[in-house]
Amino acid sequence: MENKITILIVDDHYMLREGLASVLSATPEFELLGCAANGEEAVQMCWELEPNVVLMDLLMPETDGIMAIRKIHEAQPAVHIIALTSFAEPKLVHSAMAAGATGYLMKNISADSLTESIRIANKGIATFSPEIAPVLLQNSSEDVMSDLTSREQDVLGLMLEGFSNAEIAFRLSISKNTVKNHVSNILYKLKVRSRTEAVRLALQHRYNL
Amino acid sequence: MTDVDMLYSDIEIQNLLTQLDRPADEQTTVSVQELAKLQLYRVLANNAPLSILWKNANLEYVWVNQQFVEDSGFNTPEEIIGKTDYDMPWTREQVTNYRVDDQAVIDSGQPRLNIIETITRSDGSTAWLSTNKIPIFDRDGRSLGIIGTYEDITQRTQAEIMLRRYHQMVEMLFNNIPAAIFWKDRNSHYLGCNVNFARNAGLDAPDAIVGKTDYDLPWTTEQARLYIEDDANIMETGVPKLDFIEQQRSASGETQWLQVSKVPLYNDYQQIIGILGTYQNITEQIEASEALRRERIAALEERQRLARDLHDAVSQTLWTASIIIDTLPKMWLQDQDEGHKNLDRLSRLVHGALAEMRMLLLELRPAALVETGLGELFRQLATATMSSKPLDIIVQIERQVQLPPDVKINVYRITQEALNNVIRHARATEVTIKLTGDANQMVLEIQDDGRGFDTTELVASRHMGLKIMQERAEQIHAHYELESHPGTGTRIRLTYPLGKPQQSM
Repeated sequence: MENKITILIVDDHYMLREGLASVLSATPEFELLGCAANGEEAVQMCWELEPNVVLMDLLMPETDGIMAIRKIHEAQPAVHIIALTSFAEPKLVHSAMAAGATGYLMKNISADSLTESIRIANKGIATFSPEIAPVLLQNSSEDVMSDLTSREQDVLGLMLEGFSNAEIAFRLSISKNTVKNHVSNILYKLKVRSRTEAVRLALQHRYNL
Repeated sequence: MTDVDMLYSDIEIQNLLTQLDRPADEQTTVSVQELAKLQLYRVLANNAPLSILWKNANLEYVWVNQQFVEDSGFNTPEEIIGKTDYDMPWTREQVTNYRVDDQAVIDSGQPRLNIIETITRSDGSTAWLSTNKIPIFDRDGRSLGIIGTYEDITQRTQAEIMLRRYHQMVEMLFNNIPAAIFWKDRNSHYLGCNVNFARNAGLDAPDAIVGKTDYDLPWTTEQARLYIEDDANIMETGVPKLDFIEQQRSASGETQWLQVSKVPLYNDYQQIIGILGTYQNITEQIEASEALRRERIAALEERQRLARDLHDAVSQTLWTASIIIDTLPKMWLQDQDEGHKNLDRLSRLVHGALAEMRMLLLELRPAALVETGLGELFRQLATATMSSKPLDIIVQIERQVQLPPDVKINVYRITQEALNNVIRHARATEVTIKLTGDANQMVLEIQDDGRGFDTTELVASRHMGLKIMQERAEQIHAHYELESHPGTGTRIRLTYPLGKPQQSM
């Protein structure tokens, strides 16, 4: 059939590959081209088989999913890659999207939703699991944090531990005034008004809340 | 020094002295004025806290005051007149010394002052003296002998000795306690320090610190600024700052952790005139506790990583099961064979997930790892691994023995690592984990049917895993053997001696 959506599965979990392949084969309009067990195999097979959609696990030994997405996206921009993973860390989500993923699905999705998502991705439309949306809207707090100098990060780290300016001054062997300056720079860069807000933001970032 | 220095001849003085003790109307040969003067001298001489004596050129006593009379053990000055030191209670040696000095003063015509010597009194007590000897002459320049005065300095000497000892002790303490000590003036200029401090500051001697500020010393500018800021606070408020911790870059360039106390220094008017500081180098303690903290964090991270990996494994396994279940009704209609295959798959997945969950709990609670038998651990490991890998794992427990906890954990970790290596490199379809042995030893064998490798040519990634196993085996003094050839699979054999612990080399 001309209109079949061709698919490549990439996952290091053998039983998952087998099971997923079987599930996809139950949908007649899908045609499974193959399964890769790691990123390197994925890039190779993608190049040879030219699938419409790639279902890509992110955390795999050796070449990981992010690297594979980047390579495939650069070499074959027409291939739609869906990240399929059990982790929703902002860092991972943002990296996958930046590398060129079309969608990001969590490994808790139902077979029907997965089938539907593959159809949507095949049209080039972004598709996400519901829990990914807030992460996308968070506007990459990663970037905000990376604006801080390493000294400011030290200070913020100690603020997180609950230390006062005086205690931070002692710990870092700097004057209280210098600490005050660092703190006000941190507030400015994080675009927050209080110490508490800064700490809250930093905690969210640290624990990927 | 005019009238007082008036000189009299021997005879005149004898006269005067005799007249002093006579009634006033008989005092004919000297003026009243002169008598009054002499009276004054006598009062002074007898009441001064000094012993005063006059010896003539033959070193015979001519006149002595009351104090001297007491020292010598006689009753009146008159008894002493005309006597020499040989008649006194002094020791032989003292007599000789006194007379040698006396003669020297007479011969040279020069006084000798502050001679420190001893005297042994009539009551047998010995005292330290500070003695002055002054030569005297008549109008014609003939020697009239010497005037001697001496003062009992025994108490003063003892106090001085005590003070000197106290000073020595303070100094010893000061330079031998492990603490560094320093003091500064109101402007945080150093006034002094002990040897320890000088060493930290890279100075040859404590004296070199005087007048320096913290900016002149090896600490960083930031540290110097902090120290001076603290000094100023303490001097302003008068509140000591005790037992706080701060950093210092020493002369050797190392950053040290110090436990510091600073107190204000007061003058007699209760005004703050400076600051006294002491500190101890607690770098070692801090580093030890830091190392411990890092160790704990590393252990925590290791556990979190394990938990995360296992969580990943469990969720993937269960998710696979869930989408198969979602699709199974449809599949059954389309292709019954495929349906059956998926039922088998489901069984393997769900059992695998259970095993993975148990392993997750084992990793999160290390005590559980110790409590669970090796056979059970191996079966969990096999079931969990088989739920995600295309591999048959056969566990054979022929003899299970009681092992010390650390040995058991290491044996389990070696098995985990061996299985990881099989999955990563061997392309095997079957692995056998076999636990055998006898009363003397436990034997673990892990054999796969994979492609094997040339043990003389190890690639880095495989090498790493093998090294981990070897190290763990060494830790528990077990014998570790690896046998592999291309095309024949790999066999690992671990032998652990039971009974007496094996001597480490």
